[in-house]
Amino acid sequence: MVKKYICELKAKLSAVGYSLLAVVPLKVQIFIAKTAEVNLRFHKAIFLLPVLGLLSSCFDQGDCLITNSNLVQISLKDFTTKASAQILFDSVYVPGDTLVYTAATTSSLVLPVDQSKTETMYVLKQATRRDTIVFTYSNQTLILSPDCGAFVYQRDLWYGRSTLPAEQIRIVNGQLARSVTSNVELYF
Amino acid sequence: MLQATWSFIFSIIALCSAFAQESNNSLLADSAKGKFFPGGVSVGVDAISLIRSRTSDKFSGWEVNADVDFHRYHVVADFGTWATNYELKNGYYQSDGNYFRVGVDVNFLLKDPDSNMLFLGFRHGRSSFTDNVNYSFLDAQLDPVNLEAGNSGISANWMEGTAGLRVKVWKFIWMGYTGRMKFRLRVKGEGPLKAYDVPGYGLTYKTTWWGFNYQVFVKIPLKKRQ
Repeated sequence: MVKKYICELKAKLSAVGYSLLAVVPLKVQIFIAKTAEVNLRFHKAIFLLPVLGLLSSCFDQGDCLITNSNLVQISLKDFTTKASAQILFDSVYVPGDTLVYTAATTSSLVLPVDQSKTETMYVLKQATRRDTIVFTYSNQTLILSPDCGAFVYQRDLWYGRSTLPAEQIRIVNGQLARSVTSNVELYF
Repeated sequence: MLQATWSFIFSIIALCSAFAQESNNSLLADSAKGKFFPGGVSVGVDAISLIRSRTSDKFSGWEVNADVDFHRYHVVADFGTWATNYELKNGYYQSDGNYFRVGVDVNFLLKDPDSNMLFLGFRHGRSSFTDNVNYSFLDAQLDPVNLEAGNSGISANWMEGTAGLRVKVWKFIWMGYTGRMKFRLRVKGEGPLKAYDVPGYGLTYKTTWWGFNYQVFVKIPLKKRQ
């Protein structure tokens, strides 16, 4: 009687359903065969759910798309016309540390922030003035996947202590990322 | 949290009762009395968690399950612990915490003489855990930077759709499996580290995550089956 039930079930099931049967105990196979008349299609769907789910999970790894950046993208603009402006800097540097620009005429600045801290101070020295900006930000580590690794992202960019008045600084995008073209606008 | 959880359980039972179907309506009036008295209590353990803990150095945990059946409805509760660690390309991540799930299963084999089950159901899951990562990278000057970030006492919750099978193998021993589709993950209290692996749920980058348990149950009947 048991063999009859199992043979009937094998004849009805698709290859996928039958292959799943092969891994379950005999007692379960008998149970399945006895209740196969109720709604075989429904049973197959139930059995296939975890199999399909497991298969979809096995080959799906996290995307290794690295988008973090520690660079603040600054656009320089004319205070009156709000248009892009070429500004001559004698130097742009982190006090006691990195010299980023020297004798440069540019309409944009790209300043790296310290990823092990939550603020970085920059001095912007021109011929007739010297300005200090302290960028503050929060750090959050993201793990893309074990194969990709962990990366730190800077966000919530803001200017802390600054010699520039508030109307000369505008935060455009507080997230530092490779896809972001402008984080800050400075008006001179 | 416990009061809110019990409120959730009873509200779900009330909702499911509105969708109940009875195949033998002629017997309903005569046999209705005592129908929703608990038929039995089942207590079980997940074998897959135990096996993984023994065979994998990346996972450690266990899970126990319990359910009480009220006619065709089974009120289910799971509790487990889960600790994982991953070696990253540039560091090391670990996560450790507890989780529980509560929910209801609907048995579609009510008249089976061995009380076998073929069920669909859902769960609400909650987890409390800590995680930590140590890693290194090169800064703009190509100098190595070592960072450590972690969260303590963060929580997460999610929903699950379940389906499974449970059969009687000997006297009071039942065995079966439960397939889970986990979704709607919400993590609260993240700080300097975005959680990567939530105990009870899995990896957070997936909006839908699948799970599978193979369980062994001991069933204690509370009333004689008619």
